Amino acid sequence: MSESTQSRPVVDPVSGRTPETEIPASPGQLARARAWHHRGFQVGAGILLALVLVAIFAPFLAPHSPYQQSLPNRLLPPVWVEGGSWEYLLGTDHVGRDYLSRLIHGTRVSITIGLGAATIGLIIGVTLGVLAGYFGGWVDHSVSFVLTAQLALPGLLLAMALVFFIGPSLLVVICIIGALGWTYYLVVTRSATQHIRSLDFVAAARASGATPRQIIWHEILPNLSSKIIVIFTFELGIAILAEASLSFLGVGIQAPTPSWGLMIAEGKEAMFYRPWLVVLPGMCLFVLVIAANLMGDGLRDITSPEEKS
Amino acid sequence: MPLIEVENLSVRLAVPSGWLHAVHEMSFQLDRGEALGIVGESGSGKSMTALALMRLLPRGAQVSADGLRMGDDDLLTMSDRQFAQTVQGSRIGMIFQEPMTSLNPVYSIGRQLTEAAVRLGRMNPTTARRRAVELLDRVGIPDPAARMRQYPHQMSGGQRQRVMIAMALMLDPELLIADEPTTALDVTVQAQIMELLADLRRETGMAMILISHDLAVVSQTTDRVAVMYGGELLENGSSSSVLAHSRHPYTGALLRAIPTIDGPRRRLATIPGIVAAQMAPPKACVFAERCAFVQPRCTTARPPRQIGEEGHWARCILPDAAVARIDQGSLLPEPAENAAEADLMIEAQNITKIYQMKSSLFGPKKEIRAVDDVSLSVRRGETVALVGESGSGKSTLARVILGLIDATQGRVRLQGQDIAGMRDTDRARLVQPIFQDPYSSLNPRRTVAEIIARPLQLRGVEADERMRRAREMMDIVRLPTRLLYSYPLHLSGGQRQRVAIARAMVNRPEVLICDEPTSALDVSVQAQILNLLADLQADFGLTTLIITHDMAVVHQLAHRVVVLLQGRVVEEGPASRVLHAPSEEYTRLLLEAAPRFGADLPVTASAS
Repeated sequence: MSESTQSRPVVDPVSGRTPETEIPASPGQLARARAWHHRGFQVGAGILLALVLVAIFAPFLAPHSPYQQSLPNRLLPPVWVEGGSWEYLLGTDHVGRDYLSRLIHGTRVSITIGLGAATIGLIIGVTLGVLAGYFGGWVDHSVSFVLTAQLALPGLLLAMALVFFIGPSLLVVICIIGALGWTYYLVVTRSATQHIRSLDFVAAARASGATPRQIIWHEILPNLSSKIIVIFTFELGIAILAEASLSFLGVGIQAPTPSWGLMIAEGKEAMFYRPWLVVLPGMCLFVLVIAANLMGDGLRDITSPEEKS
Repeated sequence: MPLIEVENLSVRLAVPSGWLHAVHEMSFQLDRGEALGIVGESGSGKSMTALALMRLLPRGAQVSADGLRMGDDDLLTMSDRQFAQTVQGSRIGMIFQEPMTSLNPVYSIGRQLTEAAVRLGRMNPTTARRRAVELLDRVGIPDPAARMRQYPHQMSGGQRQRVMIAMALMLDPELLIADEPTTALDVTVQAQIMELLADLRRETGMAMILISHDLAVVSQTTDRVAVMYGGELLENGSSSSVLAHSRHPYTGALLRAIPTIDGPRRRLATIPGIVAAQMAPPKACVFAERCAFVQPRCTTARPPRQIGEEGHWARCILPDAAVARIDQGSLLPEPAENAAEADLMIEAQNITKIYQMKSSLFGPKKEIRAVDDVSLSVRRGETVALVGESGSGKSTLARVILGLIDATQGRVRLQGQDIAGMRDTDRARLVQPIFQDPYSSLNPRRTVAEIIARPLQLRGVEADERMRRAREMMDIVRLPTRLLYSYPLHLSGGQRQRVAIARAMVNRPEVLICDEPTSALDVSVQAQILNLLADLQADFGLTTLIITHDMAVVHQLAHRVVVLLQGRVVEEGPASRVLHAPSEEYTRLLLEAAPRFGADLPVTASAS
């Protein structure tokens, strides 16, 4: 115990803290402390962090330019297959571009789109969810109707149609995937807000004259933050897969930009003879998405230990 | 030969910081047909004892005992499988605290009643059914045969508890363990259930262990009382003996912490400090830290059991006489009767609140009149108690007065101003609430300082001034300032309620509306909060509207009483008159239902 023997407490003029004031760990700090002991979170966050670093430093890590074609060296196998060379570690594609460099640069596309789309979904979903949950009544009814309508639409088809009409670009793909990926945020934040709103501390805030806006920012959102972060990591994985699907179908990222989905599409004709063209980008996708999901699972356990099954 | 013999039962639970010693070397015996009450505050280990007997302890719990016998059977060595088939439910029945969650909502009452008997092969489905109907009839469920097909949601809390009792009795147990069977129920229902349990015990001759935090309830219905604290049994003896001549300071303090319905109003005795978690097996008196009579040797060795007459013993080094010398609290001033000319602070006129419910989107509308034409006035400096059971509309009325919900009809005036046209912040300055559940009334993500200072922040008070006022409020509600930066999860229930009171008082409101401020708290903590409220009333000239179902709380605090039944006022008048000469049948019922001690108790006896 830090029981000090001073008779006259020294008050810090800024924070008003005195030496004997306990400063115990906040709920957030406790969660972070638990994070360091959660194996799934460690692995997921570790891989994700590594891939983000790869994306940031792609130009320095890639041995070749991802766009440099070299027809004499086309369709070279990876180094461990007969005929492979150390020059092109993971082989080359059908126009002779270095596969490793393209995979490294593909990380950029996937992570940009994942983060961007999950953020856009977060803004739409959390806004609607909190409003519907807090105000109820007709706001809730209309938001629920929009949700039902959204869930009834075939997402990928709609995305394809939209990209087709607006025209493909990185920004368009991010916006469209994000604008279609907010339902999970909405469902969770809406019911959580309804619950929190019924608690007495919200009633106490209303009784002290707080406006709905002050209540939402000061009382409700801090209690939603852990849930939102968890959904964000799951949506990250979903958005990355959606981009890969769109690119595979030819309406996402356009050639020659390196995107894992696009690389799978380009390699699919030669899949039986040169499986690495499909397997390698597929592996990258798998690792990235599973890392995001592991991290999400871990975060869920960490932030709400009572819901752990 | 005793029915149950427990010798040095210990239970420890794995918690992140080590082992929590929930029960430590607990020994007791129970004869056939005898009723034992186990009393203690939350965290005393009373429920863990019961769960250990039933082998229902949570995963990660370790039980050890020198002996655990039921009749001739050794329960320690019995396999789980055999225990489940021959003891659990068949020789020992158990009912739990929360009737709303202890029945499975998707199965019919009939199926849940007969399931165990049929599965264990004790009865065939027809006899099981017949027995279930008989039992439902016996526990007082009207039209039992038809009720067998109903589901739990079609019954009230009291009825569900009756069903739970019938279920526990299906296999004719020799011992019934009731873990706080009435805590979640209304007062009048509480009294009925306790009476039913006492009758059933007389009829069937089964033994009973009644676990409760309420000494009054236990003393009325059991032969013997065991007082637990910190996982240890501190006192054990016949109910009358324990109540009349408590030998342990803890029991004495508990008795004096309970407000009474009659007699002069006194400050309640409080027990300083909070129940400490026992992280190591106790090597000294577990109560020493909070004991008013603590002596050096209390903290160095476990006190021996001092055995008195009729096996009434206490684990304390004090001679009997010392405990009897515990001072009565000082008298509280008599309520000022001369309040008729004071300003009207709350004026609620003909308040009606109707909730409209639709069973489905296109279904017919159903109206529920939560509050039906209620008028209420509270004058400056007065404390008015709003008394009623759940569903009486008392909380709805409070929320209307607080401006949290709008009345369907009628209007509320605070200090002469209509609440409808008032700005939220102006209203907040006049009236502030304190809620029942201290676990939901504080934002878990904010520190104590932030919570207390938030109403000031909403008024634009500057940061240093906020901090100064928050510290001042913590002093007033007697919270140590070292808790300034703690989060609610670090606080006990009583500390949380103090934070809620500090938050309500920080803007110095004129009126405080307390919605069951102590019903979620332990007896000793309730005493602290009631004393604090009495002090605040005196120091700040507060006007208080206190909502409660507990007549003793009314007696302790209120000048005037308003009794609500199904949304209507049935009786209104000065507290002294309503409590002693109620004019309405329902008020009399409420008063009779309130558990109280016999007349020969030291609480009243030594007052002379």
